[in-house]
Amino acid sequence: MRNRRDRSAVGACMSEERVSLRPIAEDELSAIEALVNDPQALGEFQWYGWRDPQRFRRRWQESRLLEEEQWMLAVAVDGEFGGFVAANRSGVRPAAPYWSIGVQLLPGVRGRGIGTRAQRLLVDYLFAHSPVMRLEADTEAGNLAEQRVLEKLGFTREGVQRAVTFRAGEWRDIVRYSLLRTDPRP
Amino acid sequence: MNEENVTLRPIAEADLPHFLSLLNDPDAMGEHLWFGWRQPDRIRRVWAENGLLTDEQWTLAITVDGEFRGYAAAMREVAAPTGWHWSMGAQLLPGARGRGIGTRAQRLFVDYLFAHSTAMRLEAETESANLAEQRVLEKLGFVREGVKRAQVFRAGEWRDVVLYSLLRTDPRP
Repeated sequence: MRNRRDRSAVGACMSEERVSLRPIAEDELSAIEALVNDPQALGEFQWYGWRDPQRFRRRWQESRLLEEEQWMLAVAVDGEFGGFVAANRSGVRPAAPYWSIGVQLLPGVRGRGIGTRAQRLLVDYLFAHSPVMRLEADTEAGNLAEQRVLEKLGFTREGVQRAVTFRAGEWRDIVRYSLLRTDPRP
Repeated sequence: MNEENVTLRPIAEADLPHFLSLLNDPDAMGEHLWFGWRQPDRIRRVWAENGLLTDEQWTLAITVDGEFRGYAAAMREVAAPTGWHWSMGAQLLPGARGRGIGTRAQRLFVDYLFAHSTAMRLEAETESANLAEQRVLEKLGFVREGVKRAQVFRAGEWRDVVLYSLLRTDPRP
């Protein structure tokens, strides 16, 4: 009961802000660099240690972060940079690729359903602009918030893959989700 | 099956015609593995360059009493910035199937991969309809993790794949 009320409150708050996707602009790179190298800002499940923060800037200069193998887009909240979504091309055989998707928001925009809306936009975008049959997403077994988001978007839980990522000193399980072009999208 | 001596070794030049038939002959490949023609010369070139043993992929011949009878291969897959695992598979020539050779070869390959790399996880995928390979993987101690929908496209259709894994810390029967 209480849960339901909380959710509708979130829904009410959600509809106020306009969420959209667009290519990443040069002046947003410093926000991305700061985000990916800040353990606090990344949150519990995304911190894998320090890495070269310039890698985004280099790839932006070359391709605007829109490459064959990876599409990255900014999440704009009322026009302001709020984080990014990414889709990586995977698939064992080149003839049958699919996308593996993810989202990373700035700390200040979390918890209001923006991640859900951004990922729904990304799903629509990918099915509109590539002929893939399958989208995939994975998340650590402990990350229940992201699992709820994926289920809300119509993703199917396919199983738990053991010891796939190594984070904070331990091998960790991930949950694998997929959404097919032919699946219902709520 | 106890009579025959199954071993793994690098692929030799004399193996290449048989090896290529497993990659480019629909009849030799069997029901679940024929994905269409591929450049045959490419494999020869790669073999000449690195013997099919690179940092990213290890391919070994399966021999029975010293004769080439198939191959086992592992591809390194990177997951997240820090994790990686091997995705492995094996394929036998038609005449060598159905006598437990695939099981013994894959058991040797599992031991080899855990002995010579730091991998925590081995992964194996097989089409949902390929029950024989699923039985082999379960015999080797692999755990069935789930079904990945529409993961491969073969013979005109998207097909589901069953994902299995074996961790270094799992019991190996």
